[in-house]
Amino acid sequence: MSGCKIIRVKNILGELLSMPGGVSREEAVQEAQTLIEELREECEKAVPVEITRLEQLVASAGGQISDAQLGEILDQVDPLLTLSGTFGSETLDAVVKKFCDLAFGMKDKGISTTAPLKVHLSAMRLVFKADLSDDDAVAILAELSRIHDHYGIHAHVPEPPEFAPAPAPVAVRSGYKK
Amino acid sequence: MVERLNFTQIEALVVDADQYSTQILGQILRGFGLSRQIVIESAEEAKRRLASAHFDLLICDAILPDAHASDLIKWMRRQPALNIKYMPIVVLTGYTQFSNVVTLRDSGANIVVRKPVSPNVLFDHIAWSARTERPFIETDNFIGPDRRFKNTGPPDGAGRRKTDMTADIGVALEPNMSQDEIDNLLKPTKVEIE
Repeated sequence: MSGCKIIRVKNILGELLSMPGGVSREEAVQEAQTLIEELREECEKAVPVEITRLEQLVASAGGQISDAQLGEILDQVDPLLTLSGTFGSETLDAVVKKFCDLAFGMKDKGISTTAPLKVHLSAMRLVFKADLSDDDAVAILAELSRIHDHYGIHAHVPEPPEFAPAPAPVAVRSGYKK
Repeated sequence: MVERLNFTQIEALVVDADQYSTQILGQILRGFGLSRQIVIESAEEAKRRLASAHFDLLICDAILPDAHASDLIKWMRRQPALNIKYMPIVVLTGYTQFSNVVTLRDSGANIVVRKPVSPNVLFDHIAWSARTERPFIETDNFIGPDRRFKNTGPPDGAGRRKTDMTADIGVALEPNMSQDEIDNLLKPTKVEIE
């Protein structure tokens, strides 16, 4: 290779963030959480809309779904992942993630039947509407896991990438700036 | 002592077509106290905005309607304007595929965060970026922040940088230092200043 230049870049973001004033981690997170809560009503209304969108995508495939259609589902599921992860119950979030695992696994293994997708979408409806007991939630997730096992599908999402290490959740200490 | 981070001077460009994600992200950034955040949907619009205004931080979705985020990042890393070239870039991914993460890293992203992004995760990553002196690497096929995070030696044991040392350090040419000699090296001593 012709060479590798290592350039020491001025950390402008760091300089701006370390200006006097500002907020502590606790204050910033608390304020952000409060502002996010303002969106709850609107976003909770959007959950069934997003589930319907996925149901329509699956329904349009009929009994057999193509690789491209599974890819489209994975592209379209992001808003629901955001909504369920931020405002949904833990169970709804878990079901949506299982749906993603399933769609990806089906794509990976060339499975084309839409039945397991439909079961997951029904489960989403159920856990979103119903006020489930913990036992019921566990039972639903266990049944979905059995479907995954039946098709030989496992969660594929990796741990957070190594190149972007999860920073220690501690307050920034003074004196880190050179 | 807990230090505070001052976001009031930070101007961020958010590129994401998912309205819920941008709404939530907008509230998070407002909660942090960012002075200005512009939200747009496409890579082409991002290029226009970056060329015409100043930003300190780019936050973008991995999949944009008109391009993959890696294309936008590669474009940024090859710009002559240094504020664009070296801008910290946070990429948000939905249902992350590992290959996608690697592609984003190799295009020059600083950080990849899985959606849904939460205030504490975003705060920690931005704070980490701010306090980490991370050099930029420029080679024929990569321009971006140093990808070597862990001190595990060069990839595959083969050094490609001038600063990479050979794995074979050879036979010692002198006897090992005794502990006393090491201690003496570190012991503060008074010196006479003329």
